[in-house]
Amino acid sequence: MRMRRSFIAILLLAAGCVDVPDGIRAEFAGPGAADRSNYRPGRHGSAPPVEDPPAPKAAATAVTTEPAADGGVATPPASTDGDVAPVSTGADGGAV
Amino acid sequence: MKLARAVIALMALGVAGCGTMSLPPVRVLGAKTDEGAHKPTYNGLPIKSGQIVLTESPDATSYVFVLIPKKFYAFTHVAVISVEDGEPWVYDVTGEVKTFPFKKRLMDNVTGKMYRRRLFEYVAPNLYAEIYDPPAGADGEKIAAFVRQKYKEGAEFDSYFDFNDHSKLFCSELVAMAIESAGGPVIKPEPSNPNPSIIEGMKWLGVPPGEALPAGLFADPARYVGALGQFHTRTAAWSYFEAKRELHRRFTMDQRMGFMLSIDGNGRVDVRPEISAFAARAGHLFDNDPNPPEPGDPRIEAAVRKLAADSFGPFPATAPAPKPGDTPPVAAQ
Repeated sequence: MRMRRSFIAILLLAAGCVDVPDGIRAEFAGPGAADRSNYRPGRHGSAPPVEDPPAPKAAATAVTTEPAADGGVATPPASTDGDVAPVSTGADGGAV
Repeated sequence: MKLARAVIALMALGVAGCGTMSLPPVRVLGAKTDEGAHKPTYNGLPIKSGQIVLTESPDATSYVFVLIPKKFYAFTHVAVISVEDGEPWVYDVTGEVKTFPFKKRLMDNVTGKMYRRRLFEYVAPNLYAEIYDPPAGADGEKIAAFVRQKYKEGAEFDSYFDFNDHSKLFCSELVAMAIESAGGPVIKPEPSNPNPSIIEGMKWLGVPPGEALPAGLFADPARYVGALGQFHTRTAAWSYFEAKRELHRRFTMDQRMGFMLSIDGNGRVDVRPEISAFAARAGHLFDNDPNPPEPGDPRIEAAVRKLAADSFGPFPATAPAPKPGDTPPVAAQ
């Protein structure tokens, strides 16, 4: 148990050793209301508002699912994002 | 790429406590075979010594890598194949982070060396991999011999990503040197991203901005040999890469790292959930298409740009040119 406490203490000490200045934290800050982020869900602020270009036929096909069995409105594809979402593997595959 | 290395350090802090997990199976997703120089030799793949393996990491760090070069490049890591007694082995040089960052400067906590692993063992922790023939003029056997020699010498990882100092090596530096030593072309670093936020991050890490030698520089569709990984198809993989290309395209001079990434109180960097969700969705755009586009087909770009517009708002087909007064490329300063 004593060894485990020491281990935790080392962890905390180590965490405190990382020098991340305020200026860098500011660079990693999320977009505020006045920021012109190009990644904000919905309309982004950097580019002038433009109309969506007409979707190419193929692209439209790509996101179309099979008609609903009851003949109702087709639903969007089921979320199957999990297999390509970034994960922490603990492996060293993310090398440089 | 120096920033990338440092962020790896940050990320490693995050993954250190995750323990182990079972890895998904590696699937062969395609192979370019013929009766000539590309006869299948290993699991349907025409593997030969000197071929280049490019991999894409599943970690959030891959979203940092994509922002480092001025131009977009797919893939996060590069290595070399050496066929020994019929078995393909992969040689690479990789940086690791010490368990704890005992030093204030993150880069001082990165260390690494060369590794030799079986092909599938090497690919397994990655999201995706593609194999390419060496560039014209480069002798594959000589490329393999070069990396074997560096492995034997115990070459160390260059935690400062100095392309001009070969006493230590980083992944793309090793491969560039191997190709050149085998009679292939001289491969030079590319300009790094002139975005002020990226420059600020590189300065913080003590990494001189201006140059990058991205792994994706070695990917040439004309030399494609085969693909393997966790995606279901090459189309899915290249739709995912197209999403990252779109993220890079949108990272204009007025954007900040924080618009895509976050950092926690302990310096751990992560990708914002809406960003990773966008890339993940892109990988499924053609799941139900009976005639899915091949990599390079403009339908992939069109579909991904539409998804981006739906997710983040519209964005001009041509990114706005830098305005007067914008920070010029560091390489030009």
